[in-house]
Amino acid sequence: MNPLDDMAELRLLQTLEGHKDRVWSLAWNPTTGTAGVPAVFSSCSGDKTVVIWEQSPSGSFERKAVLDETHTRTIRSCAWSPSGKMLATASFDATTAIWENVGGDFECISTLEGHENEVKSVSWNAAGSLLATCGRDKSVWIWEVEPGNEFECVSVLQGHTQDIKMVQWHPSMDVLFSCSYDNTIKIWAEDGDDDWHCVQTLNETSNGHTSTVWAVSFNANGDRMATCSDDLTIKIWGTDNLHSGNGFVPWRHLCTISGYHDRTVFSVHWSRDGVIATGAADDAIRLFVKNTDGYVEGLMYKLLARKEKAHEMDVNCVQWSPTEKQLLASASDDGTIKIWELASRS
Amino acid sequence: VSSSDLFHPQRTTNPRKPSKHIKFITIALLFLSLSNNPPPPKKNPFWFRIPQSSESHRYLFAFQFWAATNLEEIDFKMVVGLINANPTVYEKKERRTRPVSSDVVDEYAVEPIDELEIFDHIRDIKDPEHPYSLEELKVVTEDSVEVDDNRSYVRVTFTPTVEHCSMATVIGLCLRVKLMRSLPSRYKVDIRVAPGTHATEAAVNKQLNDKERVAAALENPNLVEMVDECLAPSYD
Repeated sequence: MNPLDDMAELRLLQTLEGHKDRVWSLAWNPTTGTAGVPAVFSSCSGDKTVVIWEQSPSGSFERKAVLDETHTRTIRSCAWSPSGKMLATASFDATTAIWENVGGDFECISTLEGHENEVKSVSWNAAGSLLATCGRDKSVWIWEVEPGNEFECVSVLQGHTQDIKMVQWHPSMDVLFSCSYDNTIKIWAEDGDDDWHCVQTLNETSNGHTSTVWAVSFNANGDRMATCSDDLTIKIWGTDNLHSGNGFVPWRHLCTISGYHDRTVFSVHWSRDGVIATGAADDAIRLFVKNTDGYVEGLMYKLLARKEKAHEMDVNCVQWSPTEKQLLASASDDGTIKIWELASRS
Repeated sequence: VSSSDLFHPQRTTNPRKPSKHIKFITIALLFLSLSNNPPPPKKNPFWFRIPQSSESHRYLFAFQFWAATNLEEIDFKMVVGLINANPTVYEKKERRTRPVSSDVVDEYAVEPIDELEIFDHIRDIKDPEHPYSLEELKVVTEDSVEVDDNRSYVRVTFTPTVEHCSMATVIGLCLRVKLMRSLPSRYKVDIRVAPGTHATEAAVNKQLNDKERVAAALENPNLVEMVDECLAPSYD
């Protein structure tokens, strides 16, 4: 074994129990955790509720609020607006709810309907002016945020041939990425006035995944993205000339990280510092970084740390915090959320 | 069978049997509209030519014509049953009792889970279309279970009764639910159709092993009802 593998370790800080069913997803409030504002994140579950957690001065997270009695089925994912004032929740009941933080209490201010069946993911663009949702009905809906908490659907995008698992806006451009049960990743951009269409499809011929693609995550720059799949691999994609101004520049496959996961990889998240975290159905969390030493030629990314049995059951979601000190939160089928700290091995 | 969405057949409302009046009117209308030439034969096992001479035979023909066109609308479960009206039924295997060791037994030792224990959980699941168990129809056998207790892994390979069986996903779902309720939560379960026994094997396997799809399907009350019926113990 290469002595430089596993140079760091994930230390468990806290285990949070607050849900009565599997926890599908969690999201950190981007405006918290810095400048004296305590870190906040939300978690959503099969128990049809969303729990808001806040870090106390001692460092431990406590349950601050429970958002319930709105969705009638599993809440699959949640996303904070860039301003941190609104939270969108996507549910199997075919609706997306928008919640606003009104003086510590969360109120459901709007419900977006339109999808024919389960909504699986929701994402805000960098400016917080657009919202995207996707679901089993194979469509991606783009909504415009209007004054007075109104949301108007500006486009319904067809193209995927199967269930869409996740949508994610690019961190700086208004370009939308969707990944699907049809094994492809589609990239959508606007051509002038509300005319959205698919500008690129990353499928098997582009060295893409050979089974369901579950998640996509961008690096801090926005010129690299990582995708994870049921085919047990992580794929890294890149684009050049991000802000060339010459229109859309296609993405291409850079490398495939394989041989590390034994079962479906459900989640991938790229931290600000360039560490890629993955959560998989083998109950483990793994961390990868760019290979900067020359020990193994051609190996672009290497394993930084691995936490076997991070949870008792499948890890559904891993998310790095935006705090000054990089924390990792993980959500699992076992109903718990764990907070980890990345530390170098002593 | 459309491979697109096997957990969610076209009909999403509860199947209802038409009232007796509607049945009678339909038959009467059909009978009245019949000419001396019977309609062209349909690909339905119930169709067969009937001599025109007898009036009672006309009634029978009319009923079967109605059955062919209307049953499909009402209850897709029954249509599939018609396609495989005579499944091969095997005798139930004799239940072996485990030999009790005469040595001193540690009462608190946890026995590793083996193939027979898993098979015991699934052998009595009822087939969704026929009043027989999966064991009796040889949909599952003890050999179709592969288990590794140390790695908390189990794989069940099942053989649907017919190659085009649209019930394959329901059977797979029943297997998954029964094992989920019976095994410790540390277990990883893979369910698959026996290779070469189903027309859309890859599509069925992919759905059965996509836990998000399974979770959503189990929030559909109609599907849950169907699964619970198959899982309910039968006292015979």
